[in-house]
Amino acid sequence: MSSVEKQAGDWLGARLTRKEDLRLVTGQGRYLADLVLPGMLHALFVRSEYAHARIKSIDASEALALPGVVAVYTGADIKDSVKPMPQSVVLPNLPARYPTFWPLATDKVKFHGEPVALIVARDKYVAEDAAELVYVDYEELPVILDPERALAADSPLVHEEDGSNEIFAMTLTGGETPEGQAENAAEVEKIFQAADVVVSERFRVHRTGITPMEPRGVLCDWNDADGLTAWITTQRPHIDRLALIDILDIPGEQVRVIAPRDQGGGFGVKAPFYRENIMIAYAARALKRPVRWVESRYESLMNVGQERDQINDLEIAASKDGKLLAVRNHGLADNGVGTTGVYWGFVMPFLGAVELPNAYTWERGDVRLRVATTNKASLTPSRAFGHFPTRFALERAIDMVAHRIGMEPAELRRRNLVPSLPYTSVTNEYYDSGDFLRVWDNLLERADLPAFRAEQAAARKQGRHLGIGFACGVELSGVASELLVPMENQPGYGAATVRLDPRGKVMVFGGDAPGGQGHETTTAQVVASLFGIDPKDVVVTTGDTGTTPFGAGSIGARAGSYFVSAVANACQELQDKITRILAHDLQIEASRQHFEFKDGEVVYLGDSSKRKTFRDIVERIIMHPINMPEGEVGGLEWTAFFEAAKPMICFNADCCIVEVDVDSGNFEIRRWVTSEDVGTLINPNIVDGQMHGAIVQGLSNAMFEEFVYDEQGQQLSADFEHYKLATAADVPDIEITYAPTPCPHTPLGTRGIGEGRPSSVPGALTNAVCDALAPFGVELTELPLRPDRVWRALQAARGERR
Amino acid sequence: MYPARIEHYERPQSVAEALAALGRFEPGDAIFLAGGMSAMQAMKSRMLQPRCVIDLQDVAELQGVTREHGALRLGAMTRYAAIAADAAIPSAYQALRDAAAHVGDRQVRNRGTIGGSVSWNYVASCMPATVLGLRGAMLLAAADGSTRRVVADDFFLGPLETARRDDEILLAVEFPAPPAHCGSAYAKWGLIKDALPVVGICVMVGLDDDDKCVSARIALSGLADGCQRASAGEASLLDSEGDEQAIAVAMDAIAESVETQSDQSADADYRRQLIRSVGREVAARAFARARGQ
Repeated sequence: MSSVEKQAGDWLGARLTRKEDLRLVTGQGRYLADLVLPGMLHALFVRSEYAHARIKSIDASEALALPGVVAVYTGADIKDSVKPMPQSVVLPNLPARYPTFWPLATDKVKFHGEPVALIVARDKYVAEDAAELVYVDYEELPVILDPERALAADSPLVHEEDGSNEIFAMTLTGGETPEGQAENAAEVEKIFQAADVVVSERFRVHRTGITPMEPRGVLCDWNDADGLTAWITTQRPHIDRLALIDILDIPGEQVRVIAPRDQGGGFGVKAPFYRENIMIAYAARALKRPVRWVESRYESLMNVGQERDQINDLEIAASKDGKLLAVRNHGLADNGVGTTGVYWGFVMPFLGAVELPNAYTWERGDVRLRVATTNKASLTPSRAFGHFPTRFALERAIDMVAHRIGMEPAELRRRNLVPSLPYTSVTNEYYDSGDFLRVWDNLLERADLPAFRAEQAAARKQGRHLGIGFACGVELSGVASELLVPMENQPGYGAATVRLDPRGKVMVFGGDAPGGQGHETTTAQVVASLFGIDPKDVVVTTGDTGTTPFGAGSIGARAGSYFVSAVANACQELQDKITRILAHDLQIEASRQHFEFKDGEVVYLGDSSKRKTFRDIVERIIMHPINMPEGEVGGLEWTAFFEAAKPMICFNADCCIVEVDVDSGNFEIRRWVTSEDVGTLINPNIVDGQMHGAIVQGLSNAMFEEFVYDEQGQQLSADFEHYKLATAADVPDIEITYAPTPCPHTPLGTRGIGEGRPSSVPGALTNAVCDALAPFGVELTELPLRPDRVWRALQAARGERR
Repeated sequence: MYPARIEHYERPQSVAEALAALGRFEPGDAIFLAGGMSAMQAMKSRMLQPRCVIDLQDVAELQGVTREHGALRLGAMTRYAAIAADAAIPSAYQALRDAAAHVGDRQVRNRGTIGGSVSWNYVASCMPATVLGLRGAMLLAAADGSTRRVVADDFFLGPLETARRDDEILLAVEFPAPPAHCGSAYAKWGLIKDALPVVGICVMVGLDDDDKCVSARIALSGLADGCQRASAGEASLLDSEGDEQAIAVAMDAIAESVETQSDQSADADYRRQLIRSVGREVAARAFARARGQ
């Protein structure tokens, strides 16, 4: 693949403005809610008012009688004609208690907001009127909200047929067998017994996640000849298609799923296969009319984007000279109801446990996880999938070790970073390549720790409290089949079709479905750099299962890793064919390596007078396939796949500087500096944007956002008055710096970036606040990190002093 | 989140037309729409289901800030942005600008009105407490042509409740000519910038020629019972010179005497702490303005 790297032209690494932005900022984007079909009906879900209740009866007769109402469906209506979940396409290969459920609640409701009935009406106003006329007679049941109590033997059950609220449990260290795991645990215990220092704390991260600007939506159209066309706000249209085929029992050739080209963010929230999709497709088929559902913000906050929500009992054994020896973590996640296709609620905490050890060279680890089902909305994937809580716990605990042994936390980290890659972590996660120390040293240089310590000391004399905090994160660069097959029952490879046009333009087709990450721009830069053409001559089509090769979806930082690598592979095949035919036409003995694709021409390196424009040679091969070399046929289109032999990573580190007002507990972030290994940069604008967005989401999760349930399981945070998102005024300027190492396993050296990126944010932030409060000995172990919590910790510390 | 059927939409050009439109409906069946920052949400969530919406945005006589003999009159439809930008508002009433400049975001400030806010009287809002702290009075008109003035202390009855009758329209919020050496300030605390107040405090003080405090009004926002005066703090400031110590004592007195709730934004203890820390800063600013600083 080195020839490709050599060929890479000026477009790789160029700060291009995004091709997407003109239409988006001039109101010409086309989102799901912009799609209208003739005769289209509007759907509305009637949702449970209770967290846990038996449905005694549903009376929809008044709603059905309302003029303009076309249909009302309840669980009883559909139970016999729709297959229940789970179905294999949306079922991980992980041993768990998978609850059986239908898209509408059948015998009982299990969380506040669960769909109970579907109303289909001529417009959304009538649908809302009808919703008030659906009478559901509930018998309230005891609610299960606390994950620890949910696991007690005498707890009421969320899913009664499962016999337990423990949906998933796993020991991630010591191999597959209980004996091996016990032996490992005993070895770990020995290390703890002998260690100079042991830090042992309970870390809690609240329920928070991601709220895309555009909520979910589905538009389904059915006709008896073609079957089902479903437009879905989704990151993975090909998976959704398979799920609809299996669950609604529609022949595969009759289902086409299209993710709209413009989607207002996904961040994982649009990765699952949701029960609402099934009902809209069901209704369109039953009524033979287009049916559209557009989720309200209220429904969205009630149902999706809820993640994190873990308790991690974490222990670190270390030596007094700063060697991290062993890590032991008993995690407990609150999975909520766990009825989300593909992920249920536990796949996120599973990966969070896998990623717990982070970038450090532990001698051994004992990492275990239990996941409890409760009467809350299911956890759904959110950027920093599963490991926002575990990374907070570990990075906070490392600072606590440093405080105990009197070492700079930054120095303690440096001494324990994995010094060379590849490396396999104690939870068996493979880190393929990179240079952690280089990234770390770049961060320290930019942060200027000695200068800060001097400033801090001077400020303390004036009664001001400054603090500095560090954290780092190993993140997945794409999700390899090796991980994705067991975790989600899906392949990880990237796929792309590259089609050359007789006018010298390029069309790229990808089965993933972006939600604003800039695939059209980065892909165009890759293609342009390989063919020596302008990125404006490249168009990218994504998300339509009718026109794109199969792809597992826009998840887990797959664009910079898997997708563009597949594009590069396809381009390389086409370059080979173009140069074979060009050499034949020029009557020279030459192959790919003897030609350069540059400035719209294909030039023979042995004699630069022998050249042809890219457009002319492309047109010749597509439109005039005569006088061809023996065995060649015309046409220039190629579908290529990419899969690295092993999983790949990227790496990042954060430094945060805060000032804390010890009177009120208010704190201000004064500086945020990062250091990133993103591999070869394709477009620094887009990478900067990924980092900015990720860090802001991390800060917003850590400080502001929280899904709150009261003691009856009522969700109290289903609007933006109560679910608070950071605004531009709430976040600092972010200084992004790069210390990249090209990935040796991708054709262009690129890495997938941005997905896991928020995970090191809460640790860096909280470490900074605790550093500021070092004179008070405050060690914070819970999120959200808000002024009231800081104030209370200060009150407690002052009380102890008295 | 779609409203119930609204049968009529009226867009009067004058107060008389607005009152006439109101008179065509049973009490409570028609609502006035000012900036729509709260009422539209309430209709979308179906908390309000009016038969008629009377949109006041074309009524010129409800717009704008006027001054007469030192008194200040803000038309009910005066937007936050206009208040925040009005440099002619005297130091006695600067709290109005403090508050208006930080309501919601720019879009909200360009639409939301002082009249809409005081008439809605939401617990977590800035204007009711500010008007209460500044001795404001609401000028109301009825269909029979009568008008009446209701001082803030009598106007704000409780969360989402005011003394305005269903057959009345709010014409203006009025503030009397202030005495010399008078200053005010308002600030709030919310988790994110310019959020609805978890705690909001308005302080207005008048000084004599020796800089001694001869009048003090303090009002709080963010409390479950709605905006209210903090008389313990007012009494404490009287006769003081508004020094750091006196202000701290006054704010402690409020924090210790106020009845406050615990909710998801802050528990009662932290609200008390916020009253102390926000209140100190606000009071110091009010005193500084009273001294002409």
